[in-house]
Amino acid sequence: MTVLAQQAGGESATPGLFSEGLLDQFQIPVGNWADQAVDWIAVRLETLLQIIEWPFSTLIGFVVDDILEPVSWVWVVLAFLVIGTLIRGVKVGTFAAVSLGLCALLGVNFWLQTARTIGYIGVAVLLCVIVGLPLGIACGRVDSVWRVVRPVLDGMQVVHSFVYMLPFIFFWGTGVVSATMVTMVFALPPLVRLTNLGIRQVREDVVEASRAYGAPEWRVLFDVQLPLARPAITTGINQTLLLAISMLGIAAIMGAGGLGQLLLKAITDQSVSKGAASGLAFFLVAVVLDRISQPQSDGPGGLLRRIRRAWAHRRDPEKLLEGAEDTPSPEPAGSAGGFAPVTAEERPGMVIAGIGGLVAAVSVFLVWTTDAGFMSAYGRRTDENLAGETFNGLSASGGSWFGVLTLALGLWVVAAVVTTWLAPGRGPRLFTTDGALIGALALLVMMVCYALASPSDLSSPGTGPGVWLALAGGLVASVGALMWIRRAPHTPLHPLKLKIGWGRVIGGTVAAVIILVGMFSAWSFDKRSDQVMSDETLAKIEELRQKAVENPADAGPISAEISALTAQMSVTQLAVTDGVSSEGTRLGLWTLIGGLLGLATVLPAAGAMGRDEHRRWRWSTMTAGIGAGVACAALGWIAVHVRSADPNYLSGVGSFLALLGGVLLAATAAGILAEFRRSKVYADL
Amino acid sequence: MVEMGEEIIVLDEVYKIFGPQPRGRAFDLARSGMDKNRVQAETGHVVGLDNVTFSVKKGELFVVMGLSGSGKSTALRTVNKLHDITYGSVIVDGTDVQALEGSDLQVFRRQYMGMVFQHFALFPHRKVIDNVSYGLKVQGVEKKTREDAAMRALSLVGLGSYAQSFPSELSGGMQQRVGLARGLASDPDILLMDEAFSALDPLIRRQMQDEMMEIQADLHKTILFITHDLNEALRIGDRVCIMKDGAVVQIGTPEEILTQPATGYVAEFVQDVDQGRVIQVHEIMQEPRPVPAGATLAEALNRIGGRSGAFVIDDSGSPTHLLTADDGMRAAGMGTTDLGPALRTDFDSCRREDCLNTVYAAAGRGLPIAVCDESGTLIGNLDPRHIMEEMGRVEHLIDDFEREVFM
Repeated sequence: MTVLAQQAGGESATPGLFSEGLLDQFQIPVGNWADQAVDWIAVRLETLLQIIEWPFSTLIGFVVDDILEPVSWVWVVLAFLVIGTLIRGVKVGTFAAVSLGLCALLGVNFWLQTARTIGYIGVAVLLCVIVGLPLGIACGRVDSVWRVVRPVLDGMQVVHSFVYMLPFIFFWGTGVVSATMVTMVFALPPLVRLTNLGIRQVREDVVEASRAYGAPEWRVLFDVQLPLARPAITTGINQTLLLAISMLGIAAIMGAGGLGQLLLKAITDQSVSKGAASGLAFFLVAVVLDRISQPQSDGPGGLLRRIRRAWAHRRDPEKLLEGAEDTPSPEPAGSAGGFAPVTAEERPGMVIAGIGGLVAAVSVFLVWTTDAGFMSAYGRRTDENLAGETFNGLSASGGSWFGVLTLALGLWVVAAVVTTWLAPGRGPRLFTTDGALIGALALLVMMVCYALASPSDLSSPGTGPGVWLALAGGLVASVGALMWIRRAPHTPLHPLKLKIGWGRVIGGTVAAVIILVGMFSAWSFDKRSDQVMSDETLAKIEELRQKAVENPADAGPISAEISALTAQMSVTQLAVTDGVSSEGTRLGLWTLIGGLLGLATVLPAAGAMGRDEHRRWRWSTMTAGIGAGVACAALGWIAVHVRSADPNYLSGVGSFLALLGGVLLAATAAGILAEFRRSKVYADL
Repeated sequence: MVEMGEEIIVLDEVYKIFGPQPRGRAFDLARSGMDKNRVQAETGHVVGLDNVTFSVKKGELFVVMGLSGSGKSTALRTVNKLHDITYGSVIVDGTDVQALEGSDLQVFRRQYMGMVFQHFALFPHRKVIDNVSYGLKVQGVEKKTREDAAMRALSLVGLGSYAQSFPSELSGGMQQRVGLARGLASDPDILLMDEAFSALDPLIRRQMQDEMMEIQADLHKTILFITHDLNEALRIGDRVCIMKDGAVVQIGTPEEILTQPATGYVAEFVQDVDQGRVIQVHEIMQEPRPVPAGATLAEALNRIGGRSGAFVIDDSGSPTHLLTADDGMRAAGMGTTDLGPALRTDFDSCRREDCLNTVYAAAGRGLPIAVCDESGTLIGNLDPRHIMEEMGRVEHLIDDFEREVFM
């Protein structure tokens, strides 16, 4: 630059006003000004900065440090089960609990970051709601406020987050607090806009009606405007949440913890295992939070599509409301009908199924194993200490997760029977006749696999009466549920297609092949080290010990020698067992047999053996039940290893393939199961 | 407290200007008599109400009728101050409505007003019973009492069994009944009805009008009713006020509006009205001039005079036969003096309170119609030609109006 200026100066003897030389000498010191301004603010307005910071740091401290981190993940999962159920129903609640439970089972570190992530998002959204909702209401009710706020929102959304990230870092440093602030700037506008819109689109005459009957303004707001703006406001909160989730990466760059940080670290470390696990946890958290906050009227769609939509419409979120129904209409009063009542023909089957489920549920409290549990991931040396003890189905060293699954499936069957008995057809879909049969068959298949799987060669625990009782319970429940389903007055919502469902047969075959591949794949990786000491070595160690006792002065070098000796003798062997060889449990073999059995039921279910709709439905239910059973057996095995305290003893990919195959098998029946409902009986119209 | 029949709502020289500066030049221009469209062109302000003065008597069903943009709904909303006015005064039961603010205004609305809306304006998220009891809830009435009152109001409109339904489960007509019940539940002195039946289809509208008039016959509310349908206004109104461009054009009873339209504008409206539904038989019937049973043909023809026919009555005064002028002349032309052969029995009869539209079919035959009282005694003679004339009279009026304007 200086060179240029000199050249220019050289060409013209007297530098004029417009010559480049003079113009190039200008340097408006914006940078310096900003520097000074920031310094000035940081010094003079320190109190103000602290006041602004206070709600952020306090809330994050309270929610993350005081609640989410210290409490056991079980409580968090239960809380989400309750919250999800209350807000969106049993299905979403269960889904949330299962997903977060999976995150927790990924490991302590992952759970810690998951909990932090939930906390950060929660705090950001909470603060957005605290600020955005009143602001949106003010905008909706007072035009002048909206005229002022609107350009500010536009500004917030046009400027890129990397730009406004800087001042926040200058004033509050890097870390969670400024990251939450930046997230708020990014995620707040849709909530304000949609609340404003929601208030404004409430029909004027309805508002007038409230005023005309003498309602004060607060009543107009709470009786009419807010309830009728609710769909828009829930959409707004959901949008805010989706945008907050999408900001987690940037928050990680700003130094906030959470799964974003793990992902960032996985990228810098190029670690596949960390990346996959934290990515999965991230995805699950995002889906769970989105599902819980999703407005009822919103159409379906995957999370990614929804986040993309939120991004695309973040400047005009009003578009998101188009096509959404404003009021859910309950069933017309005139069509007061009910579902077919429980008939006398159904009752025997129901009773038997219920008893079977109950027996299975009770069985887990009886003795499942004596000595050690081969399915408890304590299959080696550590189990020797357990010799002579007995364990029930829920204790870690006994039945382990198979016991938990048995309890859950048994109670499911009982719940299905009781729900239908008390309120036929009214309960959730899973608690109907087909639900009972799926639960019973899953229980039976899983327990057969468990009972037939051979124990590892290193320990030979005895199988207790609880296992046989659970197996018997599964059998009884299955027989009862089969009797019940034959008589169940279920009908499809639409007539079934007359063609044979070859797609389902192919799906079932693929599932069986997956399970077959799984059988030959590894079911367990055992990298635990073991010390194999010869008598000679032991004698030598003993000798050295004696020496140390005699000459305490030499104790140091002698103990080092002992350590070296033991280290020499320590052997690390990687024992990989597959699902079929006799060294392992042969669980892979039994799941394959289950899978083939399931495949056999796919044929009649797909309509290859007669077109009777009820019959096809019954067989489909059996497919689903057997598939679920295979999946449960694999899941139990995986869960056993997840629960293991030793990180060197892992479940193999074979069990995952069996799980996948089981789920796929069950999924082939999903379409037909969704069609069938308990028949409706209409009262006189 | 005003007594029955005294003025309870009084609008006096009310102006309402919409725009950023309602009291500025637009108001001055409107006040100087400039019409709505010119004021709007000059100042950009809309004149909602232009020197509106009318009063509603207690217990009266007062209808304000006008097309959209005529200021009728605005006028209604000044009564409970949903709109402020620019100038003038609105007095309700001695209270200056404009002076009310905040909680005074809320108490006033609770005490005096029920309001029914064109598109029902029910709260979609509340059950029917909660909609109906809303006014009482706002008043702070306890739950049991207000639900009892709401149930009474609901059974009054015949919807007692739908209390637990949501508004969206009801048909349009039923929803407006709920709206009406909501207006009645708090037992207000005044019901403001803003195009209450306009969104309903004609059959239901008619039915609702009937029901409302039945309820009104029992309760004697003061009803200020807004409509754009003159048929409706004339059918239900005790008095009708016609508005155009924010100004009052004519106030009068339905008969006055029909028979003495103040301007061509009103007449043009009246043209579309099926007058037969408003004008009753006794307004155009002639005195009977009956023919005694034993009279001769010549005597009978004499009695007919210039009319189209006369009725023969028995001792009790009931009409038994009809002699038309044509039949009589024909018989006389054939040289008969006997009355008997010229008589016909296939005549129609009606009551004096019947509306003209009920006798259209009979009039179509061209024969005179007997008007009888409850005991069957002949009290009048209705000439079909007069019915047609009555229908045509308004047409002339409009023709005159057009001649005035266009020539």
